[in-house]
Amino acid sequence: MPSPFSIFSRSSTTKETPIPFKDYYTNWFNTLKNTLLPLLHHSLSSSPSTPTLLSSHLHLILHHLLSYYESLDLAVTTNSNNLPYLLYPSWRNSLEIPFLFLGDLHPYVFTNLLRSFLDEADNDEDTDNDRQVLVFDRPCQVVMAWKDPSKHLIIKIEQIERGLRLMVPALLDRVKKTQSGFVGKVAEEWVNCEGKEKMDVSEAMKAEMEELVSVFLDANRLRRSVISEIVGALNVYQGALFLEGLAQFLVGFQDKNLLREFERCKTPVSERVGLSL
Amino acid sequence: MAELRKMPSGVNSEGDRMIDFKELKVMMMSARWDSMDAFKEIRNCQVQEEESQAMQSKGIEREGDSDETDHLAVVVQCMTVHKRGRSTKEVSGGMFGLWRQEQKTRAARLEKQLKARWKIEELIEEQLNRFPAHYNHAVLPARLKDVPQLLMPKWFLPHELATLAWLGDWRPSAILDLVHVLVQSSSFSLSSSSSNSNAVERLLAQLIHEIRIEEAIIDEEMAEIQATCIILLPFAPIRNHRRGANALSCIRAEFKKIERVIVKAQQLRLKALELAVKKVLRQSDAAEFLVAFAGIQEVIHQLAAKQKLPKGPVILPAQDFEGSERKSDATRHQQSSFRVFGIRKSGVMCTRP
Repeated sequence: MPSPFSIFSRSSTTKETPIPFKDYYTNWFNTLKNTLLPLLHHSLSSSPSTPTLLSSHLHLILHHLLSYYESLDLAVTTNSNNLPYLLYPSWRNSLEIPFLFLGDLHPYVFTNLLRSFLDEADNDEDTDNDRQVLVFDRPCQVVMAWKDPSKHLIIKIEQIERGLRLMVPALLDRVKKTQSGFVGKVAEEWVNCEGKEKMDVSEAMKAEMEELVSVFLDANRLRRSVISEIVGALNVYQGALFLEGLAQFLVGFQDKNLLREFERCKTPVSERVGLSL
Repeated sequence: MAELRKMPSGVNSEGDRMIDFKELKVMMMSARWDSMDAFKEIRNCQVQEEESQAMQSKGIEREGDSDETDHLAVVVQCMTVHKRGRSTKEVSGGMFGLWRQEQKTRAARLEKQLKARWKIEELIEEQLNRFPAHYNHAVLPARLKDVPQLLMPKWFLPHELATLAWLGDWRPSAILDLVHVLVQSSSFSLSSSSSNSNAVERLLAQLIHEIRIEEAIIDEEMAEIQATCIILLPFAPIRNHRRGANALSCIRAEFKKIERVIVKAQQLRLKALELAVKKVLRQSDAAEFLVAFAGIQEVIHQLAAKQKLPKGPVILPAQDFEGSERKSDATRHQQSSFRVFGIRKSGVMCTRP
């Protein structure tokens, strides 16, 4: 018979049982799709608008997005052997994989999303695009959120973009140097051992993994800081629309109908029949 | 006649029935050779020597210089010296027959060596040809769902991908890095000559530099595709893609760009390999490099298999994380903030299985 107090405490086994990262990601994604995005969507559409509630929901989704990067960081700092699985996540679908940069979205994605909102506001009068239809029933502050963005915002975006232009190639360069260093060590070992029988490159691989972990952590830090800085530079309506857009985009990758169509498509991507070498 | 028979044995100090150049000189100094027969023998030897030299130069022309060629050159030189040595009047017909026999044996050995070298050349070519065939095979079916397979090929284990891969396979500059280390090692024949070795290292450094630039250009192209996907994919929040185009054709347009980048990467990989084998290395070194390349891939694959996590990466869920998905929508609203902040504050613990 369970102890009367057991209902107040979690059993140690439940608490300590690790779950596959794949399941963690599924839960994280479902929370985003089924809970946080509808919440934000609802508060963006409710009229009259309630900035406090909107701000609260904005921060929920922001922290949820950031928490994913923290989980990635914790996974690789606990065990660097997790890294390859997070750099090449098999739980991401075929549509997502080509767009992954060091395991997740490219940091430029965030600034480009922001630019697309600002550009859309510029072109708004000339177009009758889908977005207008989508936001038609929204409060005026939401619909007009991107009109006449502040000078401070434009300066901030440019500053973030400049930072990214420096940091993204540096990350790729570090990966290149690390891989090249590993190949060099393996080749030296090959020469020293005169063949593969006695070779031991496990130390070299371990060292490379540790270096790649630091690159991965920096890539996640960069993604986190870009999202935080962008949201920090936006007002509550802009911030909510930005995060709603980002969440919708993530959810869009898992649109079941689109994925089915994608998987079933048999037409070759291009007409080319082989490499012209 | 008996004296004649004694002549070669008289100068053959080693007693191996073969006379070297010094011995020949001794014999020549002590002998007269004025008969036509002897002259014919010399002519014969000269013709055969010319043939041998022609064979030798053919070998060099085909395959370049190497240790083996040096060895062959020594063999040929010995043969010609011996031939000259036999071309004296005093040399008997029987002895000449023996020399001819020897010469035939040596020629056969030489031919065998040459054939072996041609075989190596064929094997190198075959090995090189396997790469484009492999890449073509990988690219040819390229339907939409095949493109991610090219970036994350199933035959690579996760640790192999992380440690080596660039757009689905070996980084081209890393292939040349591998050549660089092998060239620096004493196992390659080209390093026997320091000036030659320096020239090769300079060439290699230049090629690595050029290949890295091309890699960076391809990286830029891929970054552009990855960065603009939030504008161009059909589920982009702001739809800037082609008006009227359906969702799948938008995806196809992006995947076509990605496929083009992958093909460029594969071509660059092949270019690096061909440069290494055909431009930088001599034939025997190229063969050694290809053996090392295949061997190293196997070693890394085996190590990656040992590092494999049977259940993939795992994570310790934060409090109330797992159960929350089962709660009703009404309670989710209240719980979500707790859960999200719970994850953030308590941190998600990760551990090995």
